[in-house]
Amino acid sequence: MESKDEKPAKIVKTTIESIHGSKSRMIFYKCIDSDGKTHKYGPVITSDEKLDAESLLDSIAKRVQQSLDAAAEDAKAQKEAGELAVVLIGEKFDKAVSPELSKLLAESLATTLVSSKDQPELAKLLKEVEDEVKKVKP
Amino acid sequence: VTTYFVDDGGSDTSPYDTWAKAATSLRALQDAIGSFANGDLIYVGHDHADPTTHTGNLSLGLPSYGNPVMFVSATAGSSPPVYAKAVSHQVDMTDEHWFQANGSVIFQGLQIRGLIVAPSLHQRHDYKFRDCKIIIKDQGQTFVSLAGVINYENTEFDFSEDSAPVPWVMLTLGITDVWSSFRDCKVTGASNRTGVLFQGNSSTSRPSFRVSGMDVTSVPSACEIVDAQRVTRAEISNLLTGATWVPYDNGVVYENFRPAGMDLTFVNCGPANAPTSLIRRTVGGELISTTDIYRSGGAAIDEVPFAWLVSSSAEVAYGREFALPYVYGEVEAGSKTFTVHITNDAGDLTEADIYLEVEFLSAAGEPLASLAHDGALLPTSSTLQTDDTTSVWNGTGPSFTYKQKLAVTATVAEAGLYRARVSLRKSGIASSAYLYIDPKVVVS
Repeated sequence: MESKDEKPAKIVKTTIESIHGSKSRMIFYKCIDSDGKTHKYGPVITSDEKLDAESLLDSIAKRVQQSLDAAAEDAKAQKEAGELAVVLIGEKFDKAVSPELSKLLAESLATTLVSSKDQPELAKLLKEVEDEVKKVKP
Repeated sequence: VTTYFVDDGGSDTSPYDTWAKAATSLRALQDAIGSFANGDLIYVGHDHADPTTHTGNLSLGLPSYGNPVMFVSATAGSSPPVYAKAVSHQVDMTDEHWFQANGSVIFQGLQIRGLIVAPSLHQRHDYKFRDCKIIIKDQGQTFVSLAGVINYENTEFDFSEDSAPVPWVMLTLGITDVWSSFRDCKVTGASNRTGVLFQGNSSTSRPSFRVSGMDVTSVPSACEIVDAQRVTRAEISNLLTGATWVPYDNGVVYENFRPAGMDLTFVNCGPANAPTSLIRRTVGGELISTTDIYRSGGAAIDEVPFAWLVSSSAEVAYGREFALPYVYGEVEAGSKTFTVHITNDAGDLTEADIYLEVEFLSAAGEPLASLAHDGALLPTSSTLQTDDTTSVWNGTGPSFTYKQKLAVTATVAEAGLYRARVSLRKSGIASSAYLYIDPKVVVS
């Protein structure tokens, strides 16, 4: 079965949620995706009295779809980084410390590493963990 | 501290200490000396055109700590050197290669074409661009830094060569607790852009930055200014936009992410000077000021009345309030009632939905402040806030069906400043509820 990470939802409907003001308008939009979720867009703020709020519906649907796709990519990258960290840390420390401590360290670092996603940072953190482990079990 | 010269009219002769002996490119100087020392001063001819065919990244050898190395554009041949802003590409990278700086550095008056990267892990590194012109090429971004503080002053970001724009942007940082700044900058030639202007490089890599004075009128109206999903905190003031603009891209932040502390503030941004202009967006909700909708006799700046449109996200709850900005005022001693007027079209709000907080001097001769509020003490409270039967609201869009007052009575012991703010506990208040707050605090 494909996960949502691999196949993000698609925007199926875009509507105007509300319009505020006349000379300077604030226009709010909402999009509904194929999972039934609602995504807000806006406000579009305009002092252009000729601007047709309806004319932006297609471009806004496209922009929100890009956000959905980007979010899916982020989620996928985070998952991969976390899995990589768990594997590397597990390999490195399983033999050095108790399985419980190894698991704890791996989970903790995996959370941290989702924000790094690059090998130099990974190596730096692994070194720090190694030093910590040595303190516990020289 | 050593002084070097770079100019395409030089003879490329060590020690590169005069215009005549100038290195013929920044890369030639870098290759020759290997590394710069703290405080080194490098003059670059103002009409110097980078002749280098870059076959790799141009990586400056900068010291890890201490005073910055300074690269300054100066009139070629002037003695002593006279500052002159560049008229040609003094650093000209190809799309495939980057201009790297990994240490504290100042670029003043330089013209740099291509992607600039600071692969630094040190928060102590400062990168300053003063009076520069940065030509963005097809990578569509100017700076990547993992930790350093980046300050741009009087700098132009020229997107006119961004011929294959991607929704990728001019600022990316990797550490969220470092503030960078843009002061008196401008964006030019951005008509090709298709994405937001300010963005971190992922939802877990969200920068914080301040912008004060930036002309973004060349940015298409469909391009949002900030990606709310990929920025932690942004304070943006005096941004000149086109007639139609979008302050932020909500993305799917409400549903998929909860970037703690995400907080965007826009002050006096738009196509015309508007001191009433305020936009605030947090995980809890958003506030947007408007002069089109207001309460008669309510808040005004320079006699221009205004009100705040407020909505809340699903993240708001009892104990996780969306607090609006403080309003400050002066008050005499005595028993005082502080009142704020609100309206919406969805239904009367309870003391558990919305409330007013007031902090005031509560002990004579002392700086001690007390806090009083009219919020419910139980989340289950159904007590409605007081009806407002006298206010007149104006504007197109809302029907002003429900009008209420938030009121706090307190004994002020010492004349002086007070501050008040409205907090929301009701989640999911949409813009279609037309919840407006008059930020004028009436003291009686």
